[in-house]
Parts: sequence; C-alpha cells; structure tokens
Amino acid sequence: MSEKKPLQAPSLLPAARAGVGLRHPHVLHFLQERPRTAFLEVHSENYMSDGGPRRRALFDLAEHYPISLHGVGLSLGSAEGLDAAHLGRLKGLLADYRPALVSEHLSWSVESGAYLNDLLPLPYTEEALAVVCRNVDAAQEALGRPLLVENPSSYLTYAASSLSEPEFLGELVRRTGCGLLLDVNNVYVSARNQGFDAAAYLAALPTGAVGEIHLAGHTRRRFGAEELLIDDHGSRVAEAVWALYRQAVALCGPRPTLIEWDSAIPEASVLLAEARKADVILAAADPTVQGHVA
Amino acid sequence: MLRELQRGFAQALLDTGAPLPLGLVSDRLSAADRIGVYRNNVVASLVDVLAAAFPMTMHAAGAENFRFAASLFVRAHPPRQARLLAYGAEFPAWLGRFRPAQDRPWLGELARLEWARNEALFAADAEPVKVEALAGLAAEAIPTLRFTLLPSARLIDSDWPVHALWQQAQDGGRIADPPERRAQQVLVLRPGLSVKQLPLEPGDAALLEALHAGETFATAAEAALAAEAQCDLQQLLLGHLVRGTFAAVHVTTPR
Repeated sequence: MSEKKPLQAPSLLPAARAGVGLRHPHVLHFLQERPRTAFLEVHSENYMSDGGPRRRALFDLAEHYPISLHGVGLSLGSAEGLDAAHLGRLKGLLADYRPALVSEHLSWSVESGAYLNDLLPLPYTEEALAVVCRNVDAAQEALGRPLLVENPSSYLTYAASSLSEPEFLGELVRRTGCGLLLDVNNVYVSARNQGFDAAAYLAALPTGAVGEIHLAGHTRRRFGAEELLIDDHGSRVAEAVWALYRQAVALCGPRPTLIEWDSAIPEASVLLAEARKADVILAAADPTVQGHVA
Repeated sequence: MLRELQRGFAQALLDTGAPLPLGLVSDRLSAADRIGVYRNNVVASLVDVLAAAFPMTMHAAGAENFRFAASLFVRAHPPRQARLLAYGAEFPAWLGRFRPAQDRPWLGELARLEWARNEALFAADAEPVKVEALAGLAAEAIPTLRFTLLPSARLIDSDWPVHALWQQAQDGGRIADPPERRAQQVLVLRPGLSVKQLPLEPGDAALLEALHAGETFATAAEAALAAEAQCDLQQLLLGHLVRGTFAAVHVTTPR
C-alpha cells in the first residue's frame, strides 16, 4: 500500500469552538431562536431521503450554522467492502449540505448486506487494518475529501489483536491520509472496560491528525460484582472525561468539539451549556484568543 | 478471516442460540456478557426504530406486545441498508402473518397505513398543482387530461377501516377489539411539510387509482362511476386540486 502524506487536520470551520449534536426535539428551537453555537452535527443517515421536512429543516439551518455530517452506517470495518449505494447517498449529502466536517467510525456494522445498527468492534490485526485502509481509501476517493475516523467505545477485545488502538489509528492515518475524530468519552469508557491507561492512549495517538473532538455522557451497568461503562450519550459529560478532555486539548491543540446527546435528551439549553464549558477550555488553549470567550 | 469473524459475530447478535465467535477475550467479565452489550444494543435500537415508525400500531397492540413482535422481526429481517428511515417496509405484512396476532388481523393493516405515512414523510418534495392550472382550459379538454400524483401519494385499499382505527389510536383511545369490519380506502400524501390522510369514497379511490395508473380523466371517470354510480366527478377533481394531490397535469393535444 502506498504511503500518503497525512493531511492537515481537515476542517473547514473558522475556529476551534464547540458545537452540539442536532437532535429532532431541538430542531424548532434552533430554527426559531438560533442560539449561538459553533456548528451543528447530524447523523448523515437521517437525511438520506428523497425529500421531506427533515431535509428542509437542515437546509434552513445550514444557512446559519456550519454543518458536520457524522455517519454511523458506512461500516468502514466491513470485510465485504462498502455499500456503493450508501456511499453514493453520502456523496449526495455532501453536495447538498457542503459540510464543514465529515466523519465516520472505526467499526463495522454491515455483514452479508445486513445492517446491524451498532458500532461493532474490530480486531486490531494487519488484516483488519488492510480492510479499513481499503474502505477509507474507497470512501475518500468517492467523496473527494478526507474523512475523520472516530475511535469507538468498546465492550470487548479480541485475542488476535496485535496492535493497540492508537497504533491501528496511527497506521490508518499514515496509509490513507484520513483525519481522526477523537471521542474522549469513548477513550475513557474503553479504558475502564478494558483496563488500559487513557492518558497513555492519548499520548500514543497521531494528535496532529485530530480534526474534531467528541464529548458525551456514559452510564454504568453492573454484571454481578463487575461493571462496564456504557457509552449511552444520555447524560452530562463526566468530570473525569472533562479532565481527559483538557489533556487531549493540551496534546492536540484546540479542535472543534461536539457535545453529543442521544438518549434521555434534555432541553437544548443543557447541551449548549456543556458546549460553553468546552469553549472555555478551548479558548484557554488557543494562542490567538486573549482573555475570555463571550 | 475477518469475513468469517464478522459472519459469526453477526449471527451471535441476531440469534441467541448461535455459538459465540471464537477469539473474544473473557477476563473479569465473560465474553458472553461482553457481546451481550452489543446484542442488546442492536435489537433494542432497531425495535426503537420500528416503534418510532409505527406509533399507532404500537399503541393499538400495547407497547409490550409490539416490542416483543418487533424484536422477533428485527432478528429475522435486519435492515438491508443503513438509512433506517427506510427500515420497516416489510413489517406490516410480517405482522399480518404473525401467529400470536392472528386474532387481530387489522393490526397489520394499521401498520400498512403507518408505513405509507412514513414513506410519504420522506418522499421527494413537489409543488402541488393548483386549481388555476385548469383555468382557461376548454371544458372539452378536461376528459383528455392526465394527472401525476405527488411523489408522496400512497393509496391504501384495506378490508378494515384503517383510517378510523388510526384516528382512534391517535386520539389516545382504546380500539374496540374486534373493530367493525368494513373496507376502507385511504389517500396518504404530503402536499407541503406535513403528512395528511384522507378516507376515500369508492368512486374517489377508483378515480385516483386510474389516474395514478396513467389513464386520462375520461377513463378514470368511467372507473369512478362504475365503483360509485352517484359520485360527483367535478367535486372530486376540485377537491384534489384544492388539497394538492397532483404534482403535474398533462394536457393531451387534441388530434
């Protein structure tokens, strides 16, 4: 496989500030009140229709906010390769909405054409690396721009893994020129579930490739005397994750940061308040900002 | 090898009786507990997708019954594409054949109506033809016209009063079981941003079916009168123009 020069963290956003995930209950609020936030991120698949009010609303919002398209369905880790129809629809969305950021996940969700609607874990092997590189190459070729690839939260590991996740991501960046979407909550969740050191994980990443950061809440599920952290995006960002975020910003520099919330969705103001918290941390790390953020 | 691993993993997610894929690490927690987190996510999230697409069917069936049926459907018929707004097309027919629901044959029909609503919601947008489009046309030109229905238009022809059942569920009421059995035809369409549905008289339904099949207004009118001798064709046409049923009207050049 030919080596490609890692691209500068691909972002078309004017500044590294915090945005929020746009969720259906908040659409009217954003259309009518237009609260200040750096960008809106949506799940690409929710807009892959021929028409309808959802697409209309996003067109209206795209006139006022930079849009980030965050995909959950491309299945970059599928050994059977990408679904050409899905990739075509994603390309259509890029043309329609001209997103500032385009991201996907380091995971798989399609097998024999069945879509399993979860971000399933990959073994970190040379074979899996070759599969993901091939799929990322194909996607970037079709879309005509680099993808940001997100580290997953995970609940299990494979005996066959020969690379650590940061090593795997580092090789992926080196070979495909993709960027990274660093989900700090996922790092925290996976570190706790698998027993690795989250700070060491961050230090091992190719931090220059990080083009976006995600923050979200998680929950705990008990299994007898043991527990797993579950990445449910259903609460405020945990204190320990904010601490890890400060470390990530120190390592990567200020990067566009997103507050994700997918279950038990509160009022938009709660998400926006979390985004302002991230903004304070970003501004403190930004040498071009003197003093404070509004 | 990755291909085989993913095949086994997918089977283990959808079929609780399937063996776990080899090579999953068991440590303080068993591999079974760990893959169980994914299994729950996959099935519960897809059941949620169906619950969102079929809210009145769920209301009518009871949430617990609905989720049980949906979980079986999800395992047997996982989505074939990642855009889940298109997931559920096969659910109404499956529900209609679902043995535990055989005593409620109208449930699958209600689901069929809801799927039509779902399709209408996401169909291509189109500007409806207004009454003025026919202004200036000679009366004798009307029979030669052909009408294209909106891309969102769906015609439902059911043995059960699905519109009435949907309305009862929508109003939060309990659906009498069994409901009175009578056929009902319904037009679902989205002339702007919101989905509308309209119960149709037999003549109206026959008219729209014929127009949708590409027939001229004259041929469609014959079909309408055959279905309902006393129907008022002019009123029906006017009603559809006011409502915004058509995306285009084609004037056939007289020979």
